[in-house]
Amino acid sequence: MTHPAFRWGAWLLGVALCATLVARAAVVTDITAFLPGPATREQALLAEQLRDGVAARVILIGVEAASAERAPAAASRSAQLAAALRADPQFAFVANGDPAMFVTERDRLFNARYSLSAQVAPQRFTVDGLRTAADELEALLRSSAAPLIKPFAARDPTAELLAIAATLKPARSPVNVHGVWFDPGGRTALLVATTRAPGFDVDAQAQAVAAIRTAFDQAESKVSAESKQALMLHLTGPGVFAVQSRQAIEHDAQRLTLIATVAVGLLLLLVLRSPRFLLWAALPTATGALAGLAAVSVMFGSIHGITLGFGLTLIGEAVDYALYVQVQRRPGQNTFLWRALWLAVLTSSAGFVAMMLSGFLGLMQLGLMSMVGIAVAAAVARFCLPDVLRPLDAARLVNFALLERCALHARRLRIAVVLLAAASVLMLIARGDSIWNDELAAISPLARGSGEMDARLRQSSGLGDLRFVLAVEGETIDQALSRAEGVHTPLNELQVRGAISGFDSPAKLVPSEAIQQARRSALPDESTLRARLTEALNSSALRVEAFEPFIADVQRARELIITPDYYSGTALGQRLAAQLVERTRAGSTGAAALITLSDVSDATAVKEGVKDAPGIAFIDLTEVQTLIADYRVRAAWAAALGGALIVLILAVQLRNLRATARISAAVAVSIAITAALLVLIEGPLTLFHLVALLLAAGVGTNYALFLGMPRARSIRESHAEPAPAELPVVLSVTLAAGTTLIAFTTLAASTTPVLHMIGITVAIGASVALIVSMAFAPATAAAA
Amino acid sequence: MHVCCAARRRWLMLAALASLISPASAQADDSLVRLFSDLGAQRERHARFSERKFSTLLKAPIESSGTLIFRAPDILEKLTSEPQRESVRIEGNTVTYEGAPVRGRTQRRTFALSEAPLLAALIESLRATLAGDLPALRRHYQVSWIAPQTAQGWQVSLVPRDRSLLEAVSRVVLRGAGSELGAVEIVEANGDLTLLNITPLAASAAPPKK
Repeated sequence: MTHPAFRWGAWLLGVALCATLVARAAVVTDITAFLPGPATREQALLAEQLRDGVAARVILIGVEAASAERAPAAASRSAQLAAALRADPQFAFVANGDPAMFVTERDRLFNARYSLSAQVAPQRFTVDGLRTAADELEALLRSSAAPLIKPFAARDPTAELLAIAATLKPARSPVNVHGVWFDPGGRTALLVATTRAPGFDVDAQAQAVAAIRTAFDQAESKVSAESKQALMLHLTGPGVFAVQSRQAIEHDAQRLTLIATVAVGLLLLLVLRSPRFLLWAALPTATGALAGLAAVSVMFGSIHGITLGFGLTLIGEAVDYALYVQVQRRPGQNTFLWRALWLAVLTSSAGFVAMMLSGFLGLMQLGLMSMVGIAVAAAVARFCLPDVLRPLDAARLVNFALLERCALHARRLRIAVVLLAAASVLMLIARGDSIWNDELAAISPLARGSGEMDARLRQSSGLGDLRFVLAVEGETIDQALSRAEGVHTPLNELQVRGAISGFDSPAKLVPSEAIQQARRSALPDESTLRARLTEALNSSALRVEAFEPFIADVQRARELIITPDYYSGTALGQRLAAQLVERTRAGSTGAAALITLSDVSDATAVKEGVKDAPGIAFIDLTEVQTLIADYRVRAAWAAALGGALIVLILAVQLRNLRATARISAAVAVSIAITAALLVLIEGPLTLFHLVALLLAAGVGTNYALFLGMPRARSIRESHAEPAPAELPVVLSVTLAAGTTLIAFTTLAASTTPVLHMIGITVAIGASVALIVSMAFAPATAAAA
Repeated sequence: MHVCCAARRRWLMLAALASLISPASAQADDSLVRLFSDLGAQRERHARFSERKFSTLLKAPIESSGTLIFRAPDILEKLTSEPQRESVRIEGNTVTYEGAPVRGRTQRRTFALSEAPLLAALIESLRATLAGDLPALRRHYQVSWIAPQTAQGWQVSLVPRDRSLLEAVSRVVLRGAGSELGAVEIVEANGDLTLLNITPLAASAAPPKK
């Protein structure tokens, strides 16, 4: 690394390699990567449902007419929109109440009626059973509804289709006006769309939302001008919220980053008076970010959207390295600087290794990105910057006397700071678990308050709340289905008692093999059935010859076996795919049948009612809290491990117990005070505070190192009193803290919760760390 | 060459037909509007009805008879007296059905018409006609003349707009004379037929006028 050409050649090669890797990497936006790895069976199912569940993939669409008279226009727009979306492969299922679209589904159900209907039992096909059915059919044929009964009567005289329809009918369905669904007010046409992509794939959801808007606008351009302004489009659903909140975050982040960059630039320009430095200072950071992203894309195959956002914030730490190098560097006497820089990278890496060990994909990516990022940034600052920049003369830049006095005063605060830290720790211990806010509202769109429009559309579409799911697990699909059938009876009772308004079980569409076998064996053979039917219709007004199609269908049903594949290519098939899950976990295969409960008014009663069923788990999709509590405990362990690692590195590298203790104490004290201040200002802390606190700790370790590390001479003589930090060091650290404070205070001003949390945590953390590190710095000769 | 000529001739014929139809259909529409405003002028009707249902499912046609009552704007009652007592009353969106006791239990059921859109369409073919509400009828059916109004009477055809109703009912034919509806014929997709004959009772002969 002696020749500049060699250094810059290596840099150029590295950048080219990283750029190629990053350009080819896919950016994914599935937020569940940032959800913790589940610990229990319920948590695993919950995480699965959050990721893949139907509830997260539903988009409710309302087409609102300005007045009830305009409702027909809303109805025809609903039809156009539904047609356009059904042609779009992004959507698995689109329903707007148009009965014509249920024809395929109805035909499949009709053909499977003898396998699905609970009425199918041997006595149903005896002479008496057939006579009862014939009497009922005759009564229906006499009524005004006769023309509607007749298309099916010859094939289905025992009315199995009606029996199936009764069990499959949703608890509530929207009113049908002008051929499509409407809300009770009669002004808003309703559509329900299910995306193929999971609700947490925010990019895919954004595309789906855009597709709906485009389809709506295109339909608009076709209709006459007079009805144009009369219709309004409303969209709601978890995916829609996720898209909206991400747009808000992106918008906020872009605006605030710009403000922060300008403010930091102005500060540095004002103090350092070197536009040239300002330009080159971006080099280590940019190179580090690129290398970090490249490392993530190689290790994980793709880069997560959040890693991209957070990671760039985390290596904001890298900006400081340019400052340290340029302010502290002096020709020929840089042993201390390089050593401190090396240690700073090493200790920060220890913190990030802890993040990587947490076992959560999201945090692992963040950790790797930050670790590689700061190492590369430090290397570029160390090896490349000196070639293009002259050292900045600290003495020329600031009023040294003032800085010196500040440093002096800070050391007098040492006892006060220690007392404050002790008080902080006591306060945190006293508050116990209440300092944590485990509601993951900011991560889970399902948990977010969904607003008036959502409630209105949900209520009138009859979709209700999809937050409760019963998962029934078994070793095979058939066992899961058979266990699911076992809870139909308690669920029916709960429905009668009003604890739920209905339930949607896959076993209603695909009964277990045992039930199917029992139903098949209840069906008589051709000649028996014909003989019985002839006898049953003897005294009836019905002609036995007209019912040959019935006899033929029953014979066909004796051979028919219903599997999930029977429904493929229909909306029912889509629903089953979401409700019957087959998977391999920990080497063993298993299956789960998911029963959706609608309008649960008494969750305790439901839990109680089904608790004895084998393999069952009651899942509340809004209950991400349990996941987060677990996450936080693991993250805290990871942080503790990181802390221990930092102390170990310091001890080994410095071989100076006093210095190690001093630096470690400074970091521990500043984290304690920062955490206490955060709890006082912010209330209970979230996951985002915790991650940001790790970053604050990394930055704080650097301050403590530069200000508290023994000078070069004293490392060899471990018992010698370390020399005081030199003023350029104090200046560079103060400047680094100043830029961090400005950047993150700007972020703290954001109304977006995530950005605000990170901003305020790091802003407080950096300020506290600066003061504490100064207080813990060894005394100067002048003060002694 | 030959084909071309044939195609051309067919095209010319179509064009000629179209030129004939356009003004005529405008006239037809005017006369339909007139017929329905005549029908709607009678605010209350009482009539005898007799109904015969022909179906391949049945050994013999099912016959029934009784009284039909209509009160503007939206009450329709069908009181069957033979062979069994049964009543259907539709008021606005509410249907109340009362049947003869089956196995000792009285059959009584109330439901909203909007819950059964196909049934609603069927009922509207009678109720909207008696109310003279052509726009309501047109929401469910394509309405056209079979035989325009003459001294002998008229015939109107209703073809369902809804595809799923069309699967069951291919068309409904209304027959009448002057401002009286004489018969409703429901032709089902499988060829089955329901014939409803309506004879006005004296009570409705003198429509109440304001």
